[in-house]
Amino acid sequence: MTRAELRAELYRRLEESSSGQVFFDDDDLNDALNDGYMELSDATEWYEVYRTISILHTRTYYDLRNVFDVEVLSVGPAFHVDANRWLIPSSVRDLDGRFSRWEIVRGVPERVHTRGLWWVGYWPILGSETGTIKQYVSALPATLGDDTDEPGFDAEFHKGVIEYALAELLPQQGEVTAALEAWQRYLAVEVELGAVTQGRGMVPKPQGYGVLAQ
Amino acid sequence: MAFSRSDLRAAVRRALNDAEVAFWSDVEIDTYVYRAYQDLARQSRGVWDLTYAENLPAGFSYTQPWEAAYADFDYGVANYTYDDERLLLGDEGAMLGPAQHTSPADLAFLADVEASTAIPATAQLPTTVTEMDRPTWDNMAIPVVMPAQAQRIDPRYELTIGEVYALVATQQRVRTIRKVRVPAASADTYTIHDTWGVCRSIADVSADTTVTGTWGIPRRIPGHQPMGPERFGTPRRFYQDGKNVRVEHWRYGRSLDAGAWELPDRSARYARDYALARCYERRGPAQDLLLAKHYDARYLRGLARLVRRVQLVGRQRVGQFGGPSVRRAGPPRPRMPWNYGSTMRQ
Repeated sequence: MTRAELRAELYRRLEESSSGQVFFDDDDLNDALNDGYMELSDATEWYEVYRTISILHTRTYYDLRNVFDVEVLSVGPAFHVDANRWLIPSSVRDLDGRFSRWEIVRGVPERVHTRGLWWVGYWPILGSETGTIKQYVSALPATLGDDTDEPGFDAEFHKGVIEYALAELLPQQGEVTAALEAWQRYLAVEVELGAVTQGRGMVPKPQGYGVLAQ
Repeated sequence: MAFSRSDLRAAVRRALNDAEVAFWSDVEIDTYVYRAYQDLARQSRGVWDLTYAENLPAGFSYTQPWEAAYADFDYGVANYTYDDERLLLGDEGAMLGPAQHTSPADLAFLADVEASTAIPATAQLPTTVTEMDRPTWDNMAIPVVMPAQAQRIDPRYELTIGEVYALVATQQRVRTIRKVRVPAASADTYTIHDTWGVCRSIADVSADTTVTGTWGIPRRIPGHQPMGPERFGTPRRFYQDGKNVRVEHWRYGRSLDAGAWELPDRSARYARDYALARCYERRGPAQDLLLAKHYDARYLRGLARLVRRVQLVGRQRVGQFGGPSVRRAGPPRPRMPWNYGSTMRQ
C-alpha cells in the first residue's frame, strides 16, 4: 500500500473524513504512519544494507554515524575486500585475554569489534591508507516522504503500520481502550514480521533416507 | 537529525494533545525527557568514550568544584599547592590537590622553579562518566580491584612507587580513582612549539604526515581518537599512551543545552514514551494510569533493544575451518584428595 492508501485507510479507521478533517490533518496521519514504519523497522531490523569503508591510516575506530547515510541499528558482519576474508566478531575482552598491547599491533585486519553503539574497530590496525572493508548493518529505511512511497516489507505487514498509527492517535481523542487494542494488534504484526525476518536464511531440510519429511 | 530540548518537548506535547500547556508545564516535560536521556545512556552503555588520568604532575585551572561549569579549559581543581599545607589551611576534607601549575605548557619548567614533579596517584573522572569500561596503562589493559585485593598484594599500595598495574575505585571520593602503584615515570608527551594558536603541523603527533587539502585545520589525525562529549571543532590537546593511564568508559550523552541529542535518533522516541508515562502517571485531572503503564512498557522495549544491540557483536560466531575457537570452559576446578579432612578408618 502506498502512503496515500495507508492514509485513506487510517482516516476510515479513525472515522474521519479525508476531505473534511475535524481533529487530525494529513500531516498528523503521515507522521503517525511514518512513526509506525520506523517502529516496525526498529523492532524487526528487516532492512539490511552495506557500505564500503575505506581503511584509514592508523585509524583506531570508525564512526558509523559518519560512514553510513542511514541510521544504523545493529552492526553485522564485515568483509575485508583485499584479503578476501570475513572478519571475526570479537569483543575487546577477547583481545585483552589473547594479545597484550593489541592496540599497537599493525597489520591486515582480521577481527571486528564494537565500542558502544556506533564505534567500530578493525584489528589489527592497518598502518596505511590501503584497502576497503564491506560493512553490513541493519538500519532504519528512508521514511515515506511521498504519497507514492510504500513500506519496503511485504504488503501483508502494512496493516501493522496502520495499527501503530491508531495506537498513537486515538489517545489524543481520549479513546484509550481502542488505542490499547490497536497496540495489541500492532504487536501481533511485529511478531510475525520479526519471525519472517529471522527465518529468511532457513529452508526445509532436504529429503533423505530415514529423514522425516518436513 | 539532532534533536534539541524543544524538539523533544514538542513531540511529547503533541502526543499529550496539550499544546495549550494546560496540564503539564515545560519544566516538567523537560525533566522527564532528561531523566530518560540519562537512563538510556547509563543502562544501554551506548555512549562509549575515553579520557586520560595522566601520569603527569598535577595541575589545576580552578580552585572550587563549582567553577568547573564556567571553566573554558578544565585542567583540574586544586586549592593548595604543597602537601604540608593540607593540615594547616582548615578542614582537611575540603582540601583538593596539591597542584603546582595551571597549564600543560608549564610542565617543562617545573624543575626550573623547584616545583614538585611528583605524580599523584589519584585522578578525578569527569562527571559525565557512568561506568568504567577498560582502563589501560601503556596500551595494556589493567584491572580495577577492591582495596582488600590490593592490600593482599602490597599493604603499602598507596605509597609504593612503580608501574601502574591496577586501579582502585572505592575508598576514594566519588569519581576519584587511585592508581596502584603510584606512577614512577611521567607519561610520554608531545612537545608544544610556540605558545598559542591551533595545531598547524601534525608531524610531531602522527606518523602519517600526508596532508589532504591545502588549507584549513586538521580534522582527523591518524592514531588519535576524538574524545569527550564536545568533540567537535579543532583538536586542542594530544595525548600519548606511553606510560599513561587511559580510562575507556561509558558516559551520559552530551548536554541538551548544547542542542544535540547524542544517542541514536530513534531513541528519542523511547524518551518521549518515558515522558508520556510520567505525565500520565502524575496525580491530577489528566491522570491516566492505563496509558502510563502502556508507555512505560514501550519505553522498556526500546531500552532493551539498545542494550541488546551493544552486546550483539561480541556474541556472534563465525565458522572458520581451523580457525581460532573461543574456549568457553575454564580449567577443571581443583579438588582435594579423596580422604582429605575425613576420619580414616583404622
